[in-house]
Amino acid sequence: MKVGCKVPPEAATSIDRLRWVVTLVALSLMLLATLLLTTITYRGLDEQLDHRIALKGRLLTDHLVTQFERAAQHGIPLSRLPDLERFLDLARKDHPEILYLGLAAEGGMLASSGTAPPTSLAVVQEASRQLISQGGRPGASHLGTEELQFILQGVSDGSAPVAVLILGADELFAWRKVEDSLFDTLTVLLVSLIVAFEFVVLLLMRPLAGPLLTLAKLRAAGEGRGPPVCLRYRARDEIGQAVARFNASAERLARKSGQKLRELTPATALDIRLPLFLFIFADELQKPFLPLYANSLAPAQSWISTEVLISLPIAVFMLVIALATLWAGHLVDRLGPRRVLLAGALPAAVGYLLAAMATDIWLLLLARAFTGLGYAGIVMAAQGYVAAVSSPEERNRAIAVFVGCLMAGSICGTAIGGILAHEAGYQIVFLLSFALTMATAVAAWCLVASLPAQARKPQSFNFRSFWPLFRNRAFLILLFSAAIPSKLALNGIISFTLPIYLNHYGASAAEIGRVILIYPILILFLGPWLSGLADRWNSARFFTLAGGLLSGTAIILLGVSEGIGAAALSVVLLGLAHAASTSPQISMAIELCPREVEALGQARVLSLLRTLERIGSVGGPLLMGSLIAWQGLGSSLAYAGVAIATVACGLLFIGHRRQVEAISPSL
Amino acid sequence: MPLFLRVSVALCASLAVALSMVVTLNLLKYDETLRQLDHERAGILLSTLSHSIIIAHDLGLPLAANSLAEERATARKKAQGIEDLILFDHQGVILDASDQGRIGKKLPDAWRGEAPSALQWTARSDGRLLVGRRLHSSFGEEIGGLLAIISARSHAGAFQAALLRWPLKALGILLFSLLLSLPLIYLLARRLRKLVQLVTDEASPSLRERSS
Repeated sequence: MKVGCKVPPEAATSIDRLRWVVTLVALSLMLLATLLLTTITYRGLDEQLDHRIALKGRLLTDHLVTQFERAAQHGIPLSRLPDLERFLDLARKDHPEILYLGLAAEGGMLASSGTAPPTSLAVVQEASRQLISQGGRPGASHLGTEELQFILQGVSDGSAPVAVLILGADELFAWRKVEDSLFDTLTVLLVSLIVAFEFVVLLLMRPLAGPLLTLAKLRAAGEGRGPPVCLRYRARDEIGQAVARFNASAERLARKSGQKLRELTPATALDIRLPLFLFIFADELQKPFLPLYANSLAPAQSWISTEVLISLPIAVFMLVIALATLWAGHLVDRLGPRRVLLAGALPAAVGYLLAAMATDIWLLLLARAFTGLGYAGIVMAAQGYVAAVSSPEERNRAIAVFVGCLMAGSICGTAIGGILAHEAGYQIVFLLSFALTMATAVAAWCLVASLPAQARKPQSFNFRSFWPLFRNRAFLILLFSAAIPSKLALNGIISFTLPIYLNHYGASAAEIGRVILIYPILILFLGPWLSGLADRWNSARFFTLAGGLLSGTAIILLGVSEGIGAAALSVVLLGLAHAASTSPQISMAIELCPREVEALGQARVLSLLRTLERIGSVGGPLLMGSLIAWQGLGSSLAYAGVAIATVACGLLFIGHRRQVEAISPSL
Repeated sequence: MPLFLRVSVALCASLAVALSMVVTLNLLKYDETLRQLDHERAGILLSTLSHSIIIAHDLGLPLAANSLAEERATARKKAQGIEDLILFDHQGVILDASDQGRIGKKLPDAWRGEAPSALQWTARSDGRLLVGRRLHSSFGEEIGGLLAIISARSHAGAFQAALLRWPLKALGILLFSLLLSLPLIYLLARRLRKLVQLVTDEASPSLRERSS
């Protein structure tokens, strides 16, 4: 049951402030603790790696000394060996922890590769001279300095040592590994913080905010003249005691007035957070490798080209979501969000299980179709729940909870999915998705309140009622110049082409996940700020246009450049482009269709935009697959980028038309 | 559960989740680094061995006449964890291995790596790391290959030590952070109590008013 009134402002402000304090305290504590742990674990890593690097260094010196000795024993003077420095360079090439390799004779250095501090080098050279003058074949000896750990091994011509091979291993290798993998470490920290924050919400904010907000709302309800209401909440803490006192007063009032006591379950948007987070986490796990998995299942001979075939799992998933969303909305109205959420977990879980067991691409397609069905049900149910439990004043905040949860799940799923696929294989990741979907159902069962179904008759999706929108040229331009291309870039480039591109340049699933991860991070952190800026400057059209052009440029850049760095830069630009243009598209749609908004309602106009933009989601992977099959990876990306940037220029025509409209009345 | 305890438990659980995730992901990365070092060590060893085998082959010694017994003993001493060194011909038939039962059999496909043209490859089988290297004569002809089998136990010691030590460190940090945050939790619980008071004070009078 929902309280149909707003929270008194003073209580709302206090609860808000408290939420911020809890978030701040929890996040600061977690950040400090995880940073401290990372520092300490890397200290331990340093000690462990030193021993292994020394072992490897001895093996490498043995290998090189054997080759020099072979030459010396054949009577070839080491100083006359051709390309000695190049030989040492090559020997060092595949071993980043070996910073220095040198061959010293009694008269001085014969050749060297890499650098070492002059003071350390002088000490090592002196030690080499002593080794040679000692005679006999000395074994490897170690010499530690602040920066390098040296291994010295004599080179003998069969009778006496003629030179010494010097190998300098990096003393700070473990720390350099930390520096090299700074992005990895940050990813680990970010994912840990997000997951831990979800726990704070589950264990602290939800049980506190729910009853407090409902109590605050009941104050307003008590001021009316409706039947008395009591709150279904039992706990032994101070909130539980306060609720018990309130319920006792309500019962007394009911007895006195002879009215029936209504029972209320405290429900807030936070109830849906954990189930939704778990499900999005589960679904995004496959993102860094789905096209690669599809490729491994694609038949060698098929009437469809491999590139198109491997784009189908994403396209089918998006198509099923697009179709099922319309139907799932009605189902949520009829059965209530909780039931649809629980029912949606079933096809999703079956889908993940089928995907894990898939032996060919057709079974994978069936699996993705099942998951798409579940996805539409769960997301629509979550959206319906958020709308049902929040008053109109709270709705924006509740939707922010919903969107924030989607993004948090997306970040964690993409990061962890890549790492797990790299470590344990694709099937294990799908099995984990299955387990997480089951956990989604359990979380929904325990946390989501059973709300009554909507009394109103479900509205059917009638395209004829939307006809005026299809006659609105500005709306169509917005749809084809911005909304569809955005989804095309998201699903065609980031979800489909990027894993193939990065795999082509030797990136592992974990690295692909880290590159893709940049996108939701930018959307989460820059999206609200950029859309706020667009609102403040009243320039939604400029932001949408700039987003389209930047999006095209990012894809062209990806097509003409090579390597993981270029891909990461393109994802940064795409993330910026979409963070800047996604929200302004909504403002533009409302601004461009005033008559339609008045006739149909804002929600229906926006829902049509959101439904039609899925053409890009479904078509994006298929289009990119066909283009890659036809033109190859680089050219197809360049063509797609040029096309997206060109169609974005269509937005300029909206400006021209509106200007004419604005001028004509005065004429 | 009083509010103070509830806040403490919630923060403790969230911190435990964050720290256990950091430990798990760092352990995965540590395992990967150790495996990479094992792989590089085996690579150096195979490179040294391949030089002498190729020279002997160029001088006319058939590949099958090579025995790796001595090299195997040296390898086990120098590169920890090497379980076996296998020599095979260009058709993948095993010519020499410490397990005599393997000789004459074909190398399993899973041991040959995914890239058939790569000079050196790695694969995993039954938890063991396999590092292979193709042998080419001085005329560029592929004559066979060498395979090092690295035991799953090669870095198990170091990994298990980390597995024991890191969670303990995480536990220490968890307790330290909780101790550090006790005053904060106390203040937070006090504020919460005040808020509960405020909300119930606001909610109850309207009921009292109505009942009177």
